[in-house]
Amino acid sequence: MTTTSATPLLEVEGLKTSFKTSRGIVKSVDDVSFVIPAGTTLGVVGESGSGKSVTSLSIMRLVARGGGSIDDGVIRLNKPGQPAIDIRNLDEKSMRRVRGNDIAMIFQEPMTSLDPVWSIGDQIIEAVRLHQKVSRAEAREKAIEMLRLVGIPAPESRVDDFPHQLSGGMRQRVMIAIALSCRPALLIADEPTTALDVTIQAQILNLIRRLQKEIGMSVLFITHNLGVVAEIADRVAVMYAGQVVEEGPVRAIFSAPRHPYTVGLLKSIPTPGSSSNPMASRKLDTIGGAPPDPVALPHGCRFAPRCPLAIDECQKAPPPLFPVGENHGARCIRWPEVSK
Amino acid sequence: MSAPIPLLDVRGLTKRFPVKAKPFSRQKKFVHAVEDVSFSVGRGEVVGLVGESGSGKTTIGRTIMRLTDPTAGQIVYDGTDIAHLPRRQMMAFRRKIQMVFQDPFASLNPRSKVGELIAEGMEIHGIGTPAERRAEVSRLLGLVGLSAEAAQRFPHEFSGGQRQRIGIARALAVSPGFIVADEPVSALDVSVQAQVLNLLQDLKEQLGLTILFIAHDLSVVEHFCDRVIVMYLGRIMEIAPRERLYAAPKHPYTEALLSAAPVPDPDREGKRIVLEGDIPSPINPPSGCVLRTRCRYALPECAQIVPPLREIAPGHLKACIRDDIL
Repeated sequence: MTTTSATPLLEVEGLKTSFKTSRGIVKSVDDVSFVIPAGTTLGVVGESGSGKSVTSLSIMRLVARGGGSIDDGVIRLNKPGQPAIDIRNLDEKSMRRVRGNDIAMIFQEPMTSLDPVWSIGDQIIEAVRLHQKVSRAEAREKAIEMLRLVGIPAPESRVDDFPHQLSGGMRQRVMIAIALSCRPALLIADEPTTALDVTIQAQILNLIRRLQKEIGMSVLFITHNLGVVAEIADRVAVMYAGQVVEEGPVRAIFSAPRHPYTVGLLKSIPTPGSSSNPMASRKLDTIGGAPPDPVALPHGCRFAPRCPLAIDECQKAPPPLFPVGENHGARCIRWPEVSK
Repeated sequence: MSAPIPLLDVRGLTKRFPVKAKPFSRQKKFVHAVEDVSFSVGRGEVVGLVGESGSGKTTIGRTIMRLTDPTAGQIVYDGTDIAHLPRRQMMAFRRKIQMVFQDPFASLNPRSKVGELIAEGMEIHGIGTPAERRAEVSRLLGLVGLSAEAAQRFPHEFSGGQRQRIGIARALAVSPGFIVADEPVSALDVSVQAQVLNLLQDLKEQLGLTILFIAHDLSVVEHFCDRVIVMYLGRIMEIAPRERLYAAPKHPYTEALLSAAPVPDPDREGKRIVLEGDIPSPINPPSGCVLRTRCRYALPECAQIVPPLREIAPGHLKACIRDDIL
């Protein structure tokens, strides 16, 4: 069966990924589902340990090295006009082709992701030639072109620089150049701007948006920064304790959240402009308590122990994802009463 | 009536780090980390120090703590210039000025119990008897919202937010008059960050703390600080009360910094001013105004003179020669 343009580029259904630890099995991702239509950006937000990075590593099939396994679910990549790719059941050789060719990934720390003994040009050339049949000279031309595209000044000379000769912002742009040199259908960006200064972050976000328009790629953007999500995402998935607790269009998530955790997150960040508002409190709203122990998750709703709206019923059974609006779901039985 | 004497008055503070010269090179090079910085912090005031990597904000904090010695300038704390105080005399001031770090345990002995870590400062300064110190540790743990049993546990048993509470308790143990907080919440998750900010706010109100709050998150600084100092490449660009700085920035760098900060509102309109290029090398900073290579308002004159930090409204200072912008 070939894919039509109406099929989303990426479909994740009922994904479960766990890690064996000395303390027991950690269900890092537990029944996560979402889709990313072609050319759009899904922002995944959540705090440390919510499972957002493991979700992306599962899509790349990179969890085995860390002792993890994908236990259940479907990860399907639908490239227009081509048969759907069942990522979970792909052999390793084909999977290597998918990584880089179809799905590329950029990480938070560009210094550790670049090889310090190779010039940045060599690293881009390697990526290009691994996935495309071109000569070394052609690949070098492509590398220079990519560096120019990501806004590196004087790319003809910079191409021979080594990673340590570049600033953090430039290294991250080089990582993006490597990731994009194969024109992937999906870019997974895991906290790509967290280590960067705001003015450089603004440059990188502009760059991702511009390239998305130019090559029509889809983006899975993982971050804990709600401001960044508001700027870059079309849709947002909020993760808590291994589950998507709310998912919907970016406007709905920010203006009409329907899960108490989303509300708690939005209220706990200082609002820009608070200094011009004499009524603004010097106290922030907080979410009491701490996330649950991953080896001893609550039986019912995982947020219930911290939730201001929790009732006895919340502890009885895990809540399903209720449809709460147009393309908007929330995992909360009291969602009609939830408001910002 | 004259203005009250500030608790901390920094005048012309300069810190240059020598760079290892290349063999046979005649020129000695320096990293110009902090250049001619002057500001003051009043008693009970919370002053934010913002800027990007390499702006010199952390160096200023470390110089005030005398963890590094200034190249030039004065650091007047409560009437005494501590910039060049000998080590022995500095000890007394170490007790008055304490620091809260981004991760308080990154540099501490993981084998020490939390109680020992908090009591360490009191021991060094000879405060109280062992029994009194134990009681004080319990009181401090309660003050920062932890149970007294925490004293018997090890740092690794605590979450990031709890560790930061312990770091704050440790800083408060010697009853300091001044706290330098260097990115105290930037490593924390947002919900934990809110808890720690609220704790700092409570402590500030209860104990009348004076805080120099070093951070790169502009909305956290807007929320928490009374006054804000904006730095770029070792120099102060602008100083203003928070409500003025955020509503009507007068320096091109502040304008760009504020417009670059992502806002948690998908409907926000508003043009983003992207500063092109990267921060120049602090070894060889641009002549004149350090921002001019990236400033959209730069004129030829900007390369000629270092713009002085001048008062443009009460309490509002900027280092920019242009008054026809913003």
